Parts: sequence; structure tokens; C-alpha cells
Amino acid sequence: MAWHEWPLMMFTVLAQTSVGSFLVLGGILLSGQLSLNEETRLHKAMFFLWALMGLGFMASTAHLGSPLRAVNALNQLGSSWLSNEIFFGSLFFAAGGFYWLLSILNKGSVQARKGLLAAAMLMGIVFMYAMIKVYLIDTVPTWNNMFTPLGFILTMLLSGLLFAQLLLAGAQSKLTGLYKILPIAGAAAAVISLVVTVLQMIDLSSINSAVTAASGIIDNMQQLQLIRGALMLAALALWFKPLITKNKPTTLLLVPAFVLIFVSEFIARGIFYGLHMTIGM
Amino acid sequence: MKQYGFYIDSSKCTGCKTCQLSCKDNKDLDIGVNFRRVYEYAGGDWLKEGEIYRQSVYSYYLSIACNHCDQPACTKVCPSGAMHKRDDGFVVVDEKVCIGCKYCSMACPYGAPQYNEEKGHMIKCDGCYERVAQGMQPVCVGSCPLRALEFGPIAELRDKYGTNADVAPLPSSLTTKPNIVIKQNRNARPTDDQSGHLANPKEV
Repeated sequence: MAWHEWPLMMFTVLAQTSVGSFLVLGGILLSGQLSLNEETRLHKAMFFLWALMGLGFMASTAHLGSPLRAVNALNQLGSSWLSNEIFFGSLFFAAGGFYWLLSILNKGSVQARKGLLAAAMLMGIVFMYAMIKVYLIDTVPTWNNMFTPLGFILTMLLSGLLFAQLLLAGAQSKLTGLYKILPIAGAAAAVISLVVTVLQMIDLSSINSAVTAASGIIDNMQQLQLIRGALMLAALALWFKPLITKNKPTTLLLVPAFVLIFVSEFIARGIFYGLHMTIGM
Repeated sequence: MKQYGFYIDSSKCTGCKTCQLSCKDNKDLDIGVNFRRVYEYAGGDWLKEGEIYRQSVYSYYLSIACNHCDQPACTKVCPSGAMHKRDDGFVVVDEKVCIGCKYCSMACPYGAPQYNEEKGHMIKCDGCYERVAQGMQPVCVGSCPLRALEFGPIAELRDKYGTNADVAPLPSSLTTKPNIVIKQNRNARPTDDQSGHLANPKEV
């Protein structure tokens, strides 16, 4: 486990949560299925989405040894994926935040706002792609494989969908169909996540350098994976409860569910960073 | 483009670490930061021969600094451009630009870029390019009591000693094209070897 990488763990999980939920909510807003009142309430609730993303960016600067020079991170735009990640992350934040501000203040034409929303969603997708590419380093065999994109996309789904549902419930949305689809999609993601985890643990035994065996880097791996899986299942149980009792999902239920899934994904990310090794020494 | 490199004679190296220390002294490095590191690769087993057991214990040293690679993993990922390859071939950090994201040290398979907590950015072996420009040798090379290190234009070193840059625990030289020539120890194992282990993890 790589606790010292907490700034990056926070940044990546929060960014994936924000973008994942923004893509869902953006799709709903673009589809025009919400009444004007629901839309207003949802926009207000989306404050928390930008709060998470802002928190993520703040955490990321804590990773830097010289945070006052953070702007230099953009110097190699085009050739360094870290530069690309920060660039498109900032664009996502700026475009999405501007859309949100215009909507809250009810300024600008509906068409312009929709265009901005679609652009922000596109930036979000490019941001996520760049974030994956950052870690596909050919000298780091434990990251340079399909488990990196899989893990990142699954965080977008698990944490992002649940957060989207939380904001929809907070906005008292009447889209009851979504209240069924989102937890089912979340459950599917959870199943895939567990299968992927097992496959990755098997795959680790085939990754070695002359001095490091990937399977031996994290000594309490089993324990961490069990805790992570248990938290994920607990979150799912809370997420599904309204479906079973045929009640409307409440924020009272979804907030603890989101906290559980967030901690679960946070631990998974800690394992990810903890698995860093190179092909050399 | 000019390109300098190191010749490392692993058959002579006794692991005394004078190179590591002279560099540390010259560059005034803190505990835990080593521009040159001496890796001890060790292994061996019990072999049954008829009714008796014999051991095949081996150990050898490899003094590695920055290899000033042709295709450096560090410069490829650096977001600020602080990590760059100079016209004289040395891979150097511009300490006024580096943001201390440590991405280069994640990527380098030789452990060359090192984080300086106090300065808040990366530092690394610069090949003593200032000394080299004045016609002198890097500090580590001159200090080796076994004459196991040599420095010069890599083409000359390769003419003299061949082109081998592969030995455990180094990664395959095809990945980053390091500018080193290694004379192997008689116990040397190939790069993909799994039979040994790093015997001095706290020293490197």
C-alpha cells in the first residue's frame, strides 16, 4: 500500500468520480427529460461535483515538491502525458464549471449552454484517456497493462454512477427509471471489478524483474482486497435497498453508500500505486 | 551529437563504494540520495553431486549512476521539460524548472533520478559535465581504487571494450539504450535472471 501517494490517490479517484458522474448527468441534461424545476435543483446539487473536482486538483498539488511551479506541468504539452492530463483536466474543469455557472445564474442562451456542456463532456473523456496514458509507462510492467485502464474506468463507473445517483436524489429528480438502471449498472461494474481483481492478482505472478517480484511487493494484499471488496458490497447493499423496499432513494442512504464506495476505490488506488516497480532496479 | 558514457568493469569491482562516496562528497548529497549506487546481486543454491552437497553461492557488484541513455525513460515522461538531454549527451535536470512530481523516478528503470526533500525537486547524476568540459574526469571515475570505472566518448569505449550493456539486475538495454559498457563478472547472470536477489537494498 502506498499511503505516501495519498495526493495522487485522492486526485485520480476524485477526478474519475467527477467525470463519471458528469457524463451521466450531462447526458440526462442534454436529453431534455428533466422539467425546468428538476434541472434547476440538479444544477444546484452539481455544486458538490465541482467541489470534489476542486478538492482533487488541490490534492494533486500536494504531490508536487514545488507546488508554486505547478504551471510548469504544462510545458511538455503534446509529448508528456502528464502535461496532457493536467491540460485536459483543466479544460474539463473550466468548461464544465463555466457551464454550471451560466446555468446557475441563468445567463446565456440554452443552445450555447448545451454546446458548452457537450464540450465539457468531451474534455472529460479526453482527460480520462490522458490519465490512463500517464500510467502506461513501458518501463513499469505492473502498470503497463490492461488492468490500468480497466481499473480507472471501473472507478468512473462505480464511484461516478453512485455519485450521479446521489446528486439526482438530492435534486429530487423524478426519473424513476434511472433509479433502477443506475444501481443495476453499478452492480454489473462491481461484478466486473471483482473478476478483474482476481485476474490481476493471477497476472501479478508473471511479472518479475531480476530483483522484484510483483506478487510480493504488497505483503498484506489479501487483507486489503478483502476490506476493499467488503466495502464495495456494503455500498451496493445500501444502493439497492430502495429498489427492494420500493422506496425512493434518499440522500440519507446514498451519502453513506458513496462514502463506502469511495473508500473502497481509494484503497484500490493505494494498491495500484503500491504495485509500482520498474523492469530494472 | 556527442555522447559520453561509462565503462564498468564488474570483474574488478569489489563493492567498496568509494565511487558512491566521492560523488556524495563532491555533490554534497544527503543520506538516502546517491547519484551512483553499487548494487550487489547475489544468489546460489545447494547442489547435490552423488552423495555430497556443494554450494554455488555467488555475488557480484555493479556500480550504476545515470547511464545518460539514448532513449531516456525519464525525459519521455517529464511534464515540465526540466529533465532533458543536453547537446553533449548528458541527461540533466534543470533545477529551476522541475516541479518535483517524481514521475521521472517512477519511469527510470535504473533509479537515477532522485528526489531531494529539502529542495522539493529532483536531482541526479549530471555526468560531472562541468568537469568534463574542462577536460577532467567525473569524480567517481577518478576515485575508483580498482580502476573499475572509465569515462569517455561512448564510441571510443565501445571500440575498446565491446558493446555489452546487459547483466542482471539491469533491465534489457534495448528499452532505453543506456550509454554504458559492462565487462561482466565471472558470476554474471543475464538481464532476465531470477535466480539471485538484491543483497543490499538499503544501500542503493
